[in-house]
Amino acid sequence: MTKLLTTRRTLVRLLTALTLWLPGALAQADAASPPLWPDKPLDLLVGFSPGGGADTLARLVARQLSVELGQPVTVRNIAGGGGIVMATTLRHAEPDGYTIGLAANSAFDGMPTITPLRYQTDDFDYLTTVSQLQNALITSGNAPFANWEEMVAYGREHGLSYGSPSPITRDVLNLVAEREGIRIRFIPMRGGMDVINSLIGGHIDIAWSAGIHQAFLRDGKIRVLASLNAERLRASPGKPAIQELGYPMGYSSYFVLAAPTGLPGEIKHRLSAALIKASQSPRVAQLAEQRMGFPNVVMTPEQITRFIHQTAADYRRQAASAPLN
Amino acid sequence: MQDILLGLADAFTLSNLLYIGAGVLIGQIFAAAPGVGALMAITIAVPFTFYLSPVTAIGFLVGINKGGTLGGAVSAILMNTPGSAEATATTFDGYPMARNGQALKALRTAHASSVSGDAMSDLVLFLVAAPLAVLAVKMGPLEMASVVLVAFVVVAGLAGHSMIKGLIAAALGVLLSLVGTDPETAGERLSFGIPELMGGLSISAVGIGVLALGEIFRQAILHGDTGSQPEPTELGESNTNRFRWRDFRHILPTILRSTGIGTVIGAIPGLGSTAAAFLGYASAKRAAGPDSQFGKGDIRGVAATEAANSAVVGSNFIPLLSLGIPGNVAAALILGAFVIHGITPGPQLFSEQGRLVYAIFGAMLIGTLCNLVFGLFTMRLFVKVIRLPLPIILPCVVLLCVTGIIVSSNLFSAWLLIGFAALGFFMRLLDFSFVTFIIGFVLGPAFELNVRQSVLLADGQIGYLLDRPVACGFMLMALFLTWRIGLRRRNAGR
Repeated sequence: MTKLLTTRRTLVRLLTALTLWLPGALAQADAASPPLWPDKPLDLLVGFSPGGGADTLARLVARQLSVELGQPVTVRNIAGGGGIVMATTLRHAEPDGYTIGLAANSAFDGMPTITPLRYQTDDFDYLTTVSQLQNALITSGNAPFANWEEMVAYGREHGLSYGSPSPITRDVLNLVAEREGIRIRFIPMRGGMDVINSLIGGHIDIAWSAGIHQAFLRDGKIRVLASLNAERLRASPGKPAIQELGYPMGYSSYFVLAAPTGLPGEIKHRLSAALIKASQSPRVAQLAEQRMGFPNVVMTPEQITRFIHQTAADYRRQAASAPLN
Repeated sequence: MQDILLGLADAFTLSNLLYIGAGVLIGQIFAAAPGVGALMAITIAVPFTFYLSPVTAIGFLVGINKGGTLGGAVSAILMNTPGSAEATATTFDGYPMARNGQALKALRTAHASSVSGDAMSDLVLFLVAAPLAVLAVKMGPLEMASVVLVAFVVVAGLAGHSMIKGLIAAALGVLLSLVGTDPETAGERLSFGIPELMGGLSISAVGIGVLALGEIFRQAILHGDTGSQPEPTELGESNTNRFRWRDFRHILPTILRSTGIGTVIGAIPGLGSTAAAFLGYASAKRAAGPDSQFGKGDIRGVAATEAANSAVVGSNFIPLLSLGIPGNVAAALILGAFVIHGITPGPQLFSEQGRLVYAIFGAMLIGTLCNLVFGLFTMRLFVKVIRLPLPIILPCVVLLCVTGIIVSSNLFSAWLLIGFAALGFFMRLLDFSFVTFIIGFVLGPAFELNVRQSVLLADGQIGYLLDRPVACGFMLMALFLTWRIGLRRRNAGR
């Protein structure tokens, strides 16, 4: 009898304890996770016009991200200035985890050092990368030169016109002009496709491409003269990297996903985790690797942040030592 | 040949038919709503096409684009509000026709011209895609700049009452198109420290503000003659409000001319359907002579515009398929769909993916057919709108314009919209052609970039210019047209 009573008492006590503890535990669980994020659609700003490689990748990432987070993700194109218009817009967005941006890293690290802008490298939290760009110096298949040496020889005699899609792509050619004694005319271009069109049409001699040229290599319409990445390009292993040609530079660059700085820690953590998952998803990886020829390099926030700050420091050092003409 | 048959077989499936039909309807509805436009529909639709097969996906998007060129005419005719910039010139004669109680006739004209222009342009695409691409790629910066110059002269000379005022308006348009970032140095221009202006002024804010809201302001403030409400009886099939076979024969030469203009302009990357529409209208007006009814409700004005802007949709695919170079933003979005589905547009596309190319051509034909069939019903449906009195229509239009702008860009654009509405109001007051202004604004960036590229490439050598006969020809044409139109104006003034 007493035994039963005690058992009962224990039970009651246990239950009471449980009922008292449960809401507290639940509340604690609440405290551990921030107020429900995301509870509304997200915006993904793309620093390039619709239809290009970055835009296509961004739209796929947005799709996967909305699967991860259970909220729609709208893509908005804010093209101009090699991504700086988008970055300026992003800089002024609320750091609440509902606005993220995608551009090549040069918009965040190089551009602020070569032109006065309304943002600095420190104004963003860098979340992850989607893929590595394949920067190359390219020419038309019908050009009167087929490799670097012939290009230099031709350039000394006739001068060269160089299509540059962004001001950031000028300094290496400035150095080439200076060292080889070539008169190079810099022709501004709207974007990658503009470059390809002008080359095939024979309106310019050489140009910078971030990887869009790879679709035109097979039928010989476009030739690669040199890799502008730090190492040789996957698609053109026979072409030297710019460093091998004696120029101490290399532009390893990535499509970066960033947010305005000041994200709450927990949100930043969840957002970058979701973005990494989305960027590594088979669909995105397959599109980047097989169809566009961009290696699907996905970095952790720490890695990409370190990379961008390092690159920005390099640019600042360069700018201090050799003022741009 | 086998490729063609297999491709067409791929195209004509039930699911394709359903998707393309849905696309055409969506395009018509979105474009008919002023301030939204088919472009927004395409942008929204692209992500949904990931699940579809390539042919279905591209057919669906092209369907939206085709429906859009027709839908834009509906609000242009019924409300004097172009649903998209390319339907602007449709308002010049379409709206007066509606005010004369010929709304249905105007809509049927737009429908017939749009579908004819579209169908003929598609045929041109199927026949000459590959050879014309070779020509398009030969158009260098100097050639492009001189073509734009011709467009400016033609529009400035024909849109307004005075050539000098027309040129001033065009220059103002070019000036406003410079707002944003410099294409060469990425430096900020004319943005006055406002971050939203760094990306430039949005074409929808400028277009809808100057063209649509400006007109509504004028009507509201000046109680301008908006024409009396048509009697409901005139909305049915009456003798004046019926589109007959004989009308079609009457506008056929106009349609053919505009289709030619639209097809050529569509094949040149960067000019787009708005320029084609204005050039089509201007040339039809010229052909009709000075004593025509153009601007007061001439059926040929509607036909010229609609045939020209629809003809761009097909021929836009010439540079897109052969070079992967989109002719305008709609084509750029569709290019994104190509890439998603693993298709790399380029010269090798025809040889390696022949079957797919012809399947896409088949899908385009289905889109044209859907546009033809649906238009017969939807045009009737849209006419009902005109039964509403203006005091109800106009606020709805304003609401649609403003919400469309906010949805498609941001709140800042809505303020811009109000500003440009004021500009449009004063331009009407002072008799400056707002059409040339818009053309200047649309073609400004291309003109600037091509002129700068030409100057840099020429490097101070006059030989660069003399070595390019095509560009020289276009420039001489611009000079000749200035002289001819100016002369005719002077004679007309006497």
